[in-house]
Amino acid sequence: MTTHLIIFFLVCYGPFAYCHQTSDSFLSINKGNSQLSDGKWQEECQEECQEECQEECQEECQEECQEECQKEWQGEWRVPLDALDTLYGDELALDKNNDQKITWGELSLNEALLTNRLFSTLLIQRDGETCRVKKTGFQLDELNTGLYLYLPFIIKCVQPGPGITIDYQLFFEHDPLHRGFLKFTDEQTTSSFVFSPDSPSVSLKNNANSVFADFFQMNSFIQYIREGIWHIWIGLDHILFLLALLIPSVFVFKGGQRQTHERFKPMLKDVLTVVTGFTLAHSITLTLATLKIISLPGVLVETVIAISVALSGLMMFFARFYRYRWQVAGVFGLIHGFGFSSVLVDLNLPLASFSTSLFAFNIGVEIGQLAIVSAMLPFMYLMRKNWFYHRVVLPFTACVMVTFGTVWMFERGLNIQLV
Amino acid sequence: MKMKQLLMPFFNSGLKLKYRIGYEEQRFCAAFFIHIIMVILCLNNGHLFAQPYIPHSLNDVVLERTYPVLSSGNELNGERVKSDVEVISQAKKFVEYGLEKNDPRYLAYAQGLLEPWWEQKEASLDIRFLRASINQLSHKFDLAIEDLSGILAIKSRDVQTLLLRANAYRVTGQLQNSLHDCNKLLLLSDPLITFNCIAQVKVLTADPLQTAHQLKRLLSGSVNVPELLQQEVHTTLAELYQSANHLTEAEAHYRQALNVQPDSSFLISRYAQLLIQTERWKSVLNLLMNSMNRNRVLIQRAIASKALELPETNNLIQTLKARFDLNEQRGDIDISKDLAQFYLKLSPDPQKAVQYAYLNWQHQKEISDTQLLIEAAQQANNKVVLNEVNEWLTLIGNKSPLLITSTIKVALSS
Repeated sequence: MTTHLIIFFLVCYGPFAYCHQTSDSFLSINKGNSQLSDGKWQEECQEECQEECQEECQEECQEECQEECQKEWQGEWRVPLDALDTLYGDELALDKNNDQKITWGELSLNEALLTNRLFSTLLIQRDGETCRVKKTGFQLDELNTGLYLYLPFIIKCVQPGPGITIDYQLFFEHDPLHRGFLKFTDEQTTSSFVFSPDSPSVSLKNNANSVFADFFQMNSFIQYIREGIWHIWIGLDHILFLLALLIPSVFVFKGGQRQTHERFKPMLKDVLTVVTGFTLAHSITLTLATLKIISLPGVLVETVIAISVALSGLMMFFARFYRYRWQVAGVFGLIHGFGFSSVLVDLNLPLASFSTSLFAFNIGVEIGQLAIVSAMLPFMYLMRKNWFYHRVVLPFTACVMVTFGTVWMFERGLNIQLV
Repeated sequence: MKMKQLLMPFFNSGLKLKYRIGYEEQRFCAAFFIHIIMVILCLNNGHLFAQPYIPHSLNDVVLERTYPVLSSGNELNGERVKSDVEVISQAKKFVEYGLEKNDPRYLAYAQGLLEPWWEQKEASLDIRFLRASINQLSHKFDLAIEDLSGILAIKSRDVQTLLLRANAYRVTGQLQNSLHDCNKLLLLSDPLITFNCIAQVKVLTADPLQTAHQLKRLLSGSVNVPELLQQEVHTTLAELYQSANHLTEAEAHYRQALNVQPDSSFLISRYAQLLIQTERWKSVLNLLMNSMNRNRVLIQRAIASKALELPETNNLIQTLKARFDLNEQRGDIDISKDLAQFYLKLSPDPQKAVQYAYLNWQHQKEISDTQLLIEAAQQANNKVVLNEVNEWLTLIGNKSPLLITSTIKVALSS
């Protein structure tokens, strides 16, 4: 026995290479929009406000408190499942039938115990008062570092104040190497923090009451217009899609072959039809997605946008299909709208100015789009009969679009980098 | 516009045609469907659905407990209590499992269990041994040696402690001390274990070929050698042959060692290093195909992919960068060897490479660490570092042809 033990140590100690597997958890908290979450929670909050402020007899208190009920933080917490079972599994009796296997049923059965145990290690306070944390889901998430328990939640702080303090204690009593990675996002900034046994708490300033309010009072409308313009200008995929639909506007399919528009007016009408189709479609989905009424996985949206670029590029080679450009603009415009909305979802629009911001952003997108159209239109009209436009501009841009679209499609869909 | 008209170009084959399908339409439809197939391929890849999910069935197994679980103790007056003996026994289990699976998390859990005694200098010998093991494996060699020396002051003939300290001395380059501890094993342990310990030191300080022959003779003359010991001896033989630049023999011994423990990440990593040395890039990728994505494995995979100019190289480099960022945020200090290799081979920056290789060499002076530092220093043309390594090699009486070759290059470059 002793010899075996010695051999075990001999074999194991020499070669041990520190391999950096960790039991880290990932916590993200961002400023949410109470309109989109649990209504009951808001009612409870307002009742609490009334009780609290009646005692204090302060009108101002009540106003501030009510206002705070409109705002809340949302969070997501990913806790590694194997570490959770190793450290809390016996305590919470996760393996009910002792078969050394944890099923989803066993986890679900322990959902309340498990989440209470986890959230007991996470204390969120504002101005010295503990905020209430409410779990809104219980799922699994597969990251490249393993399987995680995924817990989305919302935070409600009754006490008004400029920021929150987070005290994090998960696993620290059992695992000195454990770290909690926090990502905190308010309306404008994202900050990160690493919780460790030596630094288990952090105070985060939320700028909602000061900076963001000023921002809106001053020039929020213009800011959002700028965001919209900027988004379409830096979004090469949106520009390419638009160009693929615009460039063939100088042509018309007549008598089984491609002919050039003789006059400006029909060409302008053609352009306006396509642009209107695109605008209407993306406006619909932009609004629905920003309001979180419909949401699609980001990868799906980005992949379909890439496909739309490739497909519209491909269409440029087939004059017979030029007449269907406005339908294509409409169908794929719906998907591009989801793409635009990702910017607004990231910005977490404040409830008070939600519709104004959305409207401003959309106007920005249209201005950006019209700028591109205005720049292209004279060029297209003047060049429409030139061989260069027919033989070089059209096929070359079509090739570029098909290539870009296909590369993006693989890159985005398969999560690989080709170029 | 009716839906029928809208979808006509795509589905008109089954509808009453307004116009005949021409060659152009057929080409267009073919191209469109190719794209649809591509989308399906993307969907099948699963990345689109890499989002939080709820398993389909309550019976879906989400975890298999192949690992030890922290005991919550026994119920006593409504409270959960654990005796010290239970705590220590559990810490031992975690350390053993962590060693077996090469998983530092379990060493951290063991450290967590030993927290009440972690700072106690005069803790029991069992606890001091466990503490030394955890410290050594976390590359805190000084603390480990301190504890092990404390144990040996009381139990001077403890084989495990002597072996562990010999190992710590060897890794940190204190080769005379390591040899001294190995020699003490002569009368206490199996001759093969003792000579294996000595041979590991002699990888650098004696003619590696001669040492390999001696060890091989001893192995073939021994009977009933446990498999794990055979594996350890084959690993030492592989290192000796590698040090002597006899790479074919080295490879044969790595293979024999891997026969015993095919999933040993340490052995796989060492063997991959040998394949990299011989520029057999495809073999590197095949060997590492099923290995866990640890930093060292990813680096070796990326080196091979880069040599073969595979498209996944960039992705691997980005993944490694993200991992190193995370390590930096965590405050991990013992990734300098990985970083040195990364900046030497993958994202060339000789100055950074030499900086990290030197940092690693401060703690670990095994042949691969020294080789890495020499290579990085040569690329960065850092003669100060090269001279320091040279002085150390002279001091220990280096006989490894591998490093002698390197030192010749040093002499030539200066």
